[in-house]
Amino acid sequence: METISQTFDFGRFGKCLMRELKLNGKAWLLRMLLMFGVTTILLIIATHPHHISPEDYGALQSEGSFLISRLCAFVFCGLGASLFMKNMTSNGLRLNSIMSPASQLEKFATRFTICIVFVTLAYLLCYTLADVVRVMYVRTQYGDLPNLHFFGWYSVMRMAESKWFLWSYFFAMQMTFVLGSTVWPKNSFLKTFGSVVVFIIIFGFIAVNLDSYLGPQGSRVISHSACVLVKYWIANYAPLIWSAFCLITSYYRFKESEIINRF
Amino acid sequence: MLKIENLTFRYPGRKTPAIDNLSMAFEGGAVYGLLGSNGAGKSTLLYLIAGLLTPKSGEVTLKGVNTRRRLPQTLSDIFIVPDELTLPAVTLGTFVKINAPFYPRFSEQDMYRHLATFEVGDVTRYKLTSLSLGQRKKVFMSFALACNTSLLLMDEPTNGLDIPSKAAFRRFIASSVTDDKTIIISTHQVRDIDKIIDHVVIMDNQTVLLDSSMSEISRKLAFISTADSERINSALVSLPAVGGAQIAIANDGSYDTEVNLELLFDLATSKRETINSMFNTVYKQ
Repeated sequence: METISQTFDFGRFGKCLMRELKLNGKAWLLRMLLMFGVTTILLIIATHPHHISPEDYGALQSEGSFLISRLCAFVFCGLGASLFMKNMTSNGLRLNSIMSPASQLEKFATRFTICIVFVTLAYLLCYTLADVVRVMYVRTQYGDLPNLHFFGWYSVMRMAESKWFLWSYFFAMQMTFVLGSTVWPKNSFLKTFGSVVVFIIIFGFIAVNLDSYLGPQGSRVISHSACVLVKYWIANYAPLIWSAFCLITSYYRFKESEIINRF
Repeated sequence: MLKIENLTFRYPGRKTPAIDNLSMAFEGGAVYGLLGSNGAGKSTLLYLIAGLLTPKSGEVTLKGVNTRRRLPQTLSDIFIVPDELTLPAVTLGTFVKINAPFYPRFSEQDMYRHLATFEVGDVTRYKLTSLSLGQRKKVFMSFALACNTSLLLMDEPTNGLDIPSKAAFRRFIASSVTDDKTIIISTHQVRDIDKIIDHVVIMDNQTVLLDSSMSEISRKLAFISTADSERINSALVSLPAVGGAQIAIANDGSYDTEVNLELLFDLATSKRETINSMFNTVYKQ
C-alpha cells in the first residue's frame, strides 16, 4: 500500500515544478510573447474605428473584444493544454520523465499547473496588456474617442450571462485538449480539434433528429418541459462531467504512458 | 539487493515473449555484464528492472520493493543510462541544479572526479546539447554515477566513445564500485567490459544461458591461444586468430586464464547443453 507521502509530497512537487520551469522557461516566455503579440494585433484589427462614427465605437469595442478574447482564449489555452504530454513525445524524453524520482501524481500535477494554471494566468495577463496597447494605439491614431476605454478580461467576463457557464466550458475545452494530448502526444492540437469537430457534427445530427422525432415537434414522447430540463442539464452540467471524465482518463493515460508506448 | 522472480514479458502484438520465466539475483558491490545478440531481450530486461515495463507475470524487487510500483524512494535509488540520450539545452551546472535534488546521495565532488577520469575538459560553460555524443555520454554517466544510487543500469554505455574514452570508461567503473552499489552493463562490445565485470549474464531467445561470476568461469573454463590443430579441433569452441586460434577448454585446474568474453559468448550460444551441465543454468529451448 502506498502512503500519502509516496503518492504526493509538496517538496517533490516543488522540485518537479522548478525543473520544468528551468528547462522550458524560455520556451514558455516566447509562447507568452507570441500570445501577447497575436492578441494585440487581432484586438486592434477587430476594434479598428475607421468607417464608423465615434459614437458607435463603444459597441464595436465591446463586440470586438468579446470575440477576440474568446477566440484567443480557445486557441492559446487549447494549445497550452495540448502541450500536456510534450515530455512524452520521444523515447528519450519519456525515459527522462518516467525515471524522475517523483510520483505520477506529482508529475501530472506539475504538467497541470504549467499547461492549465500558468497558461490561463499568462493568457489573462497577455490579454490585459494587449488591451492596454490597443487603447494606446487607438488614442494615438484617432484621439480620445468618447467610449474608448480599457476592456480587460474582467469586462469580458462581466458581459457573459453566467460566469459559471463561461468557466465550466473553458475548463472543459482545456481538459479536452489535455485528453487529446494523452491520446496523440504529437500534433495534439490539430488532431483533438478535428476529433471534436467530427464529434460535434455527429452529436448535433443525433440531437436534432432525436428532438424532431421525440420532442414537442415530433411524436411528443418527451414533453416540452422535459426537453427544456434536459437541455438545461446538458448545457450546465455536461461540461463539468466531461471535464472530470477527461481529467481522470488523462491521469490514468499519463500514469500508464510507459506501457502504452513501447520503448 | 535485486531479485527477479519468474519474470515473463511479452510486447503487444508479439506471439513469443521477450522474456520468459526468468529468475535471478544481483548482489551489491558487483558489476554485471549483460550480454546477448540483437533482440535477445537485454534492453527489455533493463527496462523491466527499472520498472518501465509491466511484466505479464513475476516481479523485480530492489531491496524488497517491487520496482514496477515506481515509488519515488525506489526511483531515487535507480539510475538508468539509456543507449540514446536526450539531454536538455542547459549547462551542466543547471542540469545538476535541477536533477540532483531528487537523488539524496548525489555528490558534486564525485561527479567532477568522474569527469576528470573521463578527461572531458571544461564542459561546464557549454550547453549539453552542443557537446559531442561522446562528451554527452561521459557527462551523463558521470552524473549517473555521482547520484550514488544502489542500482545503476547502463545500456550500451560505450557506444559513441573513442578508444581512449573506452579505457577511461573501464577506469571510471572500476573506481566507483562500492559494496552498496550494483552496476548492470548491457552491451555488445564485450572487449570494453571484460576487465571490469565481476559477473556475466548471457541472454538469448528470451532467457538466460549463463549466469555466473568471472571467478567461477575461470575455474571451470580456460581460454588459451594455440596453433595446435588437434587442440583446436578438440576445444569446446574456437575462434581463428593470427597464427592459430583462441580456444576455450574445460579447466582441469591447471590453468589460470582471463575470461575471453567473445569465446564464452560463442560457447554459451552454440553449446547450451555443455554450458548448462557446467554451470547448472536453467534454460528453456
